[in-house]
Amino acid sequence: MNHQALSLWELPINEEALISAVFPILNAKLILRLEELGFEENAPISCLKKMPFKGPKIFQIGDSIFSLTKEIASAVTIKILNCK
Amino acid sequence: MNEIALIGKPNSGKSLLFNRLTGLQQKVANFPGVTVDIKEGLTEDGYKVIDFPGIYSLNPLTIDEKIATEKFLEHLKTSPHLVVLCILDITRLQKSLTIGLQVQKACAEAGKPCIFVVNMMDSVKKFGGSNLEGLANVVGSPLIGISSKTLEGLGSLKELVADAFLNPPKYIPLPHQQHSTKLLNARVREICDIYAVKPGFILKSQNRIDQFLLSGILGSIIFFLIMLFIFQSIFTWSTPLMDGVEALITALGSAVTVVLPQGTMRDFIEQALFGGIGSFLVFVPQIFILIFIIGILEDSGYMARATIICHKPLSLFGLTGKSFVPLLSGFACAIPAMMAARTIESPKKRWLTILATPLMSCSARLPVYALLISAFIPKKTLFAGFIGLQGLTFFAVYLFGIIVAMLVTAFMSRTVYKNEEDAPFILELPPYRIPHFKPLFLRAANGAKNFVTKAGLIIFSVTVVVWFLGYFPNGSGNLSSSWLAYLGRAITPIFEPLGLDWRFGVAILSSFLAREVFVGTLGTLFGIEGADENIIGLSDKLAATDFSVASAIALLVFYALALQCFSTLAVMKKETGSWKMPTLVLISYSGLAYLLSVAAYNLVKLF
Ligand SMILES: Nc1nc2c(ncn2[C@@H]2O[C@H](COP(=O)(O)OP(=O)(O)OP(=O)(O)O)[C@@H](O)[C@H]2O)c(=O)[nH]1
Ligand SMILES: [Mg+2]
Repeated sequence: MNHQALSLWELPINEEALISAVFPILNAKLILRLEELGFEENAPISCLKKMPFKGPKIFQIGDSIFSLTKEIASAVTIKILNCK
Repeated sequence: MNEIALIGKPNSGKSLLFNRLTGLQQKVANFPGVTVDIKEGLTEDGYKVIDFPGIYSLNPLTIDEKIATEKFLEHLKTSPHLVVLCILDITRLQKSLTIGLQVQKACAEAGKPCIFVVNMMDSVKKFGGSNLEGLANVVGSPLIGISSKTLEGLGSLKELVADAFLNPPKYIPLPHQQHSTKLLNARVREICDIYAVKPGFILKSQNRIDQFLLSGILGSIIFFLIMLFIFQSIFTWSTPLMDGVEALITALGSAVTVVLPQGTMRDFIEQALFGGIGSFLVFVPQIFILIFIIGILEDSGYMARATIICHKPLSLFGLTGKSFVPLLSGFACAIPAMMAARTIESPKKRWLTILATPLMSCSARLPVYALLISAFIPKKTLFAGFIGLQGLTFFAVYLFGIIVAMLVTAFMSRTVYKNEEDAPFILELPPYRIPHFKPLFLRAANGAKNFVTKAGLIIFSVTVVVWFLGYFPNGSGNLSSSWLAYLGRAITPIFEPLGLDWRFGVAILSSFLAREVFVGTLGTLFGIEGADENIIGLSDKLAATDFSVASAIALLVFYALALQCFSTLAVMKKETGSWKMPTLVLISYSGLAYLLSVAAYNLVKLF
């Protein structure tokens, strides 16, 4: 498999990726919450939509859709699965 | 007393179930974080039901989650007869179980019965439902499928709860091993792989609508149109209803006063009751429509999208997208609005949102605006008849409040609150739903009723006092030689810079008890003065005075900014933990209101 390390913020729309890690640059409570929401190693995630002017992006993780701002999404690293 | 606790993921239908069990009308809406405080009620069997704010985990992130978690754990420990209903949303089983299994474990440790209530079963019927028996076996606690919407399964749920109170041990979960988040997630995923409805099915239509409503430019245009629509509906469409109420009150007033003998009693009924209180009842339809329309928006699922669309623009002013819901509900009332700010993760942005909400024009200001505008702004249309000048003025007053609020938060976020703790937001997007009109209708009716009863008592008392002082010693038609006039002239200098005479001064001062009192007081005063006229609407009476448009605009500016609501201050104190912010806000907003209204008066007079 062809891996490419990126942050979640850089994930192109409609492409699927696996999460590799959440960087501890966020506060501990927030990291725990992300983990509890399923942001953990090897969890599949995809980006559905982005807003203009670097606004929040919309991600699907598991059975839910979440909106994250750049601050959080750039603290999550991913590996893209099917590089086109 | 037997207690039932409703706990679970946000937006899983806890409050709707609470309403079904208790017959109450707690707020239900389609976005996460609707309930932000503990709510209690009684079932017909005499059980106490406790509705907690929704939580994603027992490790709280926001204030509403902290309240829920602390109170829930406290109840687990101290309540002797407690049955915990852990609500799972079948369409979001994964996130529901993450908190569900944590709750189950807490119940096991506390030795309390726990029942899993799988809600929203109606939404998955078309996908073939779900194997609940299998699910019950793997989670290892009694489990029942229901729909709070269609009432399916509610009877069996009640039986199960009754049984749990009779045989608690049967319902107490077995002790868990200590879970790490990783193990918990793995277990949840395992369960969901087998028992959850495929997310693809459920999210398909939601994502399709989002492609449209969240697409950059189009999304923003739609957002704007929706906001415009709200305004139109409140100010244009409510007019026939308001005219209807006014006609009704006038007819009733004439009918009653005709049969009464001439004298003080008749004057009192005509002037204080119909003139004072009646002129305020005219605005009830508007309040109703306002609450109803905001309710539709909230129950459709659009609020979460609006949060995202507004995030960038609001962050320029130190706020967050999550400030949008509190700010919008501030148009109805600042009190629930400030409490809604509890869902904001960042303490700094929560404070700024609380600071901004009192500047959103709440429904108590509506009567004041409507009265002044209908009396003094001409009924002209602009842009080839598309937009009415009166409607435009309304919009301008609301916008004025918003602009001042944004300036205040932009300033405060860069100065006083510069170093407060900040945090980014995480927001779950709920599915779109067709709003449930009946509960929305009931809620709006309830809101209108509260508007009448809450303000009604104050207005009644003030009106009676004002009438008494304005009527005596010389009776009808002699307002200018009444005791009130004598007292009123003492305060004239304060209001002279606005071009207002003592009658308006009295009305403004009395409105510090509640804004709506302004209308009641003026209604009474003009009733006494114009006693020989037939009963006509207050706005027509005002229009007939020599009061200028400049003063009307000054008054609009004043009411848009002034903080004249004690409950707002009290809740602000509760939410921020000290009197510092309320004191500061009272002084600065009221001072600003006065200064800017004087400026507005002088500016308009130039033209
Ligand atoms: N289709 C369907 N919708 C439901 C059902 N139960 C609740 N809803 C809807 O789900 C949304 C959320 O309901 P609430 O009762 O406010 O949820 P809550 O769990 O109290 O939410 P928070 O207070 O935010 O934690 C509302 O739009 C309800 O109308 C159900 O059984 N079926
Ligand atoms: Mg609720």
